[in-house]
Amino acid sequence: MSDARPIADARASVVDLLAQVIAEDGRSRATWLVEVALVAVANVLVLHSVATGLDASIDAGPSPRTFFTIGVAIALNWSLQGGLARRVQKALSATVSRTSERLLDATTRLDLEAFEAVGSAEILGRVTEDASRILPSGAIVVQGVVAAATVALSTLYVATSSVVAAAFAGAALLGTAVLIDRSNRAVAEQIARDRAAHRAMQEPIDDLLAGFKQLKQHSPRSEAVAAAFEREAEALRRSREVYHADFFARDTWTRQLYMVLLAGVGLALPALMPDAFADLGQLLVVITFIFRPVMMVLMAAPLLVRLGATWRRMTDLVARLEGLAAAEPEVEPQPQGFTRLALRDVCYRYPSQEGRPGFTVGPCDFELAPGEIVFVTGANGSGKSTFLELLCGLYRRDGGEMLVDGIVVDHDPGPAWRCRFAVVFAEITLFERLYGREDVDPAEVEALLADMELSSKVRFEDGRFTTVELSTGQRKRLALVVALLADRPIYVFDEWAADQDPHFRAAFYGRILPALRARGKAVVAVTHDDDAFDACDRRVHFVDGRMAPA
Amino acid sequence: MALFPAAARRKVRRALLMLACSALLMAGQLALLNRAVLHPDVATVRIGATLALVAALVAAFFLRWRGALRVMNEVESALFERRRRMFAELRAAELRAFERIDELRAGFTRDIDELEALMPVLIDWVVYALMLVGFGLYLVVLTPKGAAVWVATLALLGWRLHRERGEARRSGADLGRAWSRRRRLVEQLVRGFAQLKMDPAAGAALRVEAAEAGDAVDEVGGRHYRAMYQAPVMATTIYFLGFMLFEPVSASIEPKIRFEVVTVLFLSFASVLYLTRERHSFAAAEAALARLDRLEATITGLASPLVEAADAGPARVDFDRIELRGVAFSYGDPEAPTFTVGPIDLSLGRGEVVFITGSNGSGKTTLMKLLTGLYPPDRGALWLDGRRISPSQRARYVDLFTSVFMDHHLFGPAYGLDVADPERVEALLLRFNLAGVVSFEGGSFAPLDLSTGQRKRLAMVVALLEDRPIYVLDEWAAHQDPELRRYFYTTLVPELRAAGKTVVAISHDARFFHLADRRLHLVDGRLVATAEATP
Repeated sequence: MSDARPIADARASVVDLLAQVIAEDGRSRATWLVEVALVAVANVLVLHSVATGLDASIDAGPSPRTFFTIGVAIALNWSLQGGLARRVQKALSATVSRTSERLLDATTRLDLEAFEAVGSAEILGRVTEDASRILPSGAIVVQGVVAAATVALSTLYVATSSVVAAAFAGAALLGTAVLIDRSNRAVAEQIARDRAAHRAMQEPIDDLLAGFKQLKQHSPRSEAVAAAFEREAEALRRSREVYHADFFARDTWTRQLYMVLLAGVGLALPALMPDAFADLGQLLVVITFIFRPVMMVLMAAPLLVRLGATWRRMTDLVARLEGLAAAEPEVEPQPQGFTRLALRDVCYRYPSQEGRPGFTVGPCDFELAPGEIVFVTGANGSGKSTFLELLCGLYRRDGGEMLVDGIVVDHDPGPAWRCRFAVVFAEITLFERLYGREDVDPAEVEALLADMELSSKVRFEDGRFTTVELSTGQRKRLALVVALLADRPIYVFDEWAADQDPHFRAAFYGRILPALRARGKAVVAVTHDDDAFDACDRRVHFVDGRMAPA
Repeated sequence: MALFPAAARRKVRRALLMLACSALLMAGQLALLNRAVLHPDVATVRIGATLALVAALVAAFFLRWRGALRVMNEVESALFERRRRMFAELRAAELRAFERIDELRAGFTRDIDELEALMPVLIDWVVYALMLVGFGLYLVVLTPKGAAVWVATLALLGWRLHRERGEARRSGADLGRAWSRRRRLVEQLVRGFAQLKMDPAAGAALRVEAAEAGDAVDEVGGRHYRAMYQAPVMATTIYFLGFMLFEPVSASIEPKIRFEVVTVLFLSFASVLYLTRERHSFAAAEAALARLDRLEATITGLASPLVEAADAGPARVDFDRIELRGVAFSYGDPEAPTFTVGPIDLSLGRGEVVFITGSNGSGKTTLMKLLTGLYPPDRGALWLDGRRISPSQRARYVDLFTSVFMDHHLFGPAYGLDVADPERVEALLLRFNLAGVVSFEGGSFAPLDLSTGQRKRLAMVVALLEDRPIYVLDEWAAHQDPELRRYFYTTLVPELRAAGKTVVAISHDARFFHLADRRLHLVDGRLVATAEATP
């Protein structure tokens, strides 16, 4: 079976999660065992008092002993099961949060290459979706464990009357569990098929929603998308019919299995072994009593396996990230100036793909002094952006050396190198707060917003921008505001002006860059605006990863 | 529930009847089993009860299986029908109206998926509830007094659970808010990775806020999950309490049927716990259905006559002149619009090349949408070859255009394109430096996760394959390198003109303005003469 391995892994992960929860709570395993056992005892006490009551004669009247026994059961159940659930939930929350935080901590200690190799979707998926899936599981864990203990203890209770009957009941219960487990596995395969069909139907829906305008303009295309949707929807509906016929047959069978078992015991046992159990009625009572915890265990088991699989994904990623991450978090270094920055024969090789050697950028020879404006040009994919990542110290060079004021820096240039740069990347993330710059003068921010003609859209209030939901051009301008507030010696821009109208494009080359130069800042800007090349002191040009003076 | 069309309701009712029979049979099975076991000495009773039990088991299996399946299939049919209807209505909607609906994707897929997922639980819930009724009837026959105690216990549980409903809903809403804040901050932390690498102080501050948001989730979650785990604990306690209350009654029951009573009590509790645990499912399904109804009502209100008219014949391939006469369009409240484009008078001839300029927010994109017929003008009208275009003719008019928008969506499959000749597609990919980047196989383009410049180039490939008389291009060249940019203005556009195509391009490239036949400059939603306009 192809899926046996992941299920075994998931089971091991459930055990691991429970061990962590117990460790988090601090009480010993023995304490937990005793408490779970006592809740099961409370259940068996009720069973016992009810079962013995059946023997009482008709005129005995209410028995004080029964009241007392059930009273004890109620007290045990209420105080212990409630307490157990509360503690498990608390410890589970703490365990998951700690793991999430470890994951985020490790992420912040990654370098850019490792981060890109892992991918942001992976990290986001674990910290948000997976964590939110595990968190509500406290109740099901406790109920499942208590139910399993109750089944075990009840079977023991039967054994005090008749070992044969207990063995018979135990074997039947086990058989039921195995049958249902098999059925669940068969369903898993169908669920995977159903998901694939669902994704296929989702595609034309996404095309309609994202490409609405383009469908409006082209009726054959619109018809084709509609036809694709009809086709996939019909395929999904048909596969659902087959799936549901099977699902409900299994589901119904699972639920009736217990009645079949009950009938088997009630009818077959006396026929097979007339002396095994003196009072068959009592045996039936026990079996009806166990019905509830058995159903609970059967319901909880697949949920717990899924929980284990989710937990495993999280812990696997933590292990992977912590293996890749630096030992220490980076600290903001003292801001440092520079008189000359140099790259000598620096190159970078992307990893090879399918036997083909990876794209290589470099060797790059590059120098930068305060007050200089350098433009970087070249076709799409010629290596401009990679050069920027190298220059900023985000990618580690595969060869050559990098110097600041004549001193060679480490292979990993580190935060001391990076803190000289303020960057506006091609793809930007805007934060509502000016993180790490809480002491900023609001008047200065407002002045910059006004300068970028953003005042009517965004205000700066209580230490945060009122919105970051802006058009592309406006977003880039707001990112420039944030970069200017950072006040670092070198400014790096990746096609900043491409999303601006002529007015701002002109302002960028004619006003903003010269103002930076006047303040002694160095500027490195990727640009395609060949009509603005006279705004720079020097230009470097990339062709197929190689840097050529222009 | 407005879930089912009237025709399906009878079928559903019949299926529910089947489920009810199977549920009531559960109590019957227990009674027969007890008969069979209780009277081991009376052979006729034992054998008769055994046979009846087997028959009841088989009957209950089929009734439950087929009943549930029928309900599910009817629900699926209804939901698929709804999906189809919404898809068709959405396709017919006006662009402007479409742009105003929030959470469209979420509603379209999430609510329907949620309803589908909840359905088996709801079916089970109904079956368990009916089973409980069956057990109650069985109990009434055995001991009316005992049945009264049983009902009182259930009522007590129901009352307690009902009391907690409000609190669970409130804490659930709080938890949703706490999670969305946490999610947003974690997303910023991850998506802004490279930026934060350059600015560790900002990274540390954001990291602290994300951790605080995580603590808030734990805190609110602690409150919300309490309701989840406390309900079964309470149900068990009340169940035990029920046995205490039962004790005085129990003594008055004949010992012979006492254990029969007990089996009923034990089995019925499994149903009670299920009903307790899944008590919120109906409310969840109702909420999802209500959201879906609201969304569909919104979509239905948006339908435009565009699509019906589109069936009227093949797309127009020819025109001589398009005119906008006094066309205006306003955003926001019609009484006090936030922004108005127009009134605009504009005439476009076949084979003309026109550039549109203007600063951000001056109305260029809106003008494009008006020109292409995607927005219906609030005032004025479009004229085609001297004839005013009526609303029902707009679909045919729209088909004159092909566009590359700023937020262009790339379709994987070549929907509705003439790609009978794959070599032509390959040649176009090569021409726009996409060979080796995008492949065209099996009628689909892949991959589609491209850089902005590449996306626009692929969009141009598709536009050329569409081969419509008018090309409308929104800053196509902005993200291309200078070589491609020059190629666009000096080779591609003249080529299109030579082929008799009309080109309307939003452009900021002042250097190439001389290549246009005309330039239209927009200021605050109005066209101004380009003689005074500085580019």
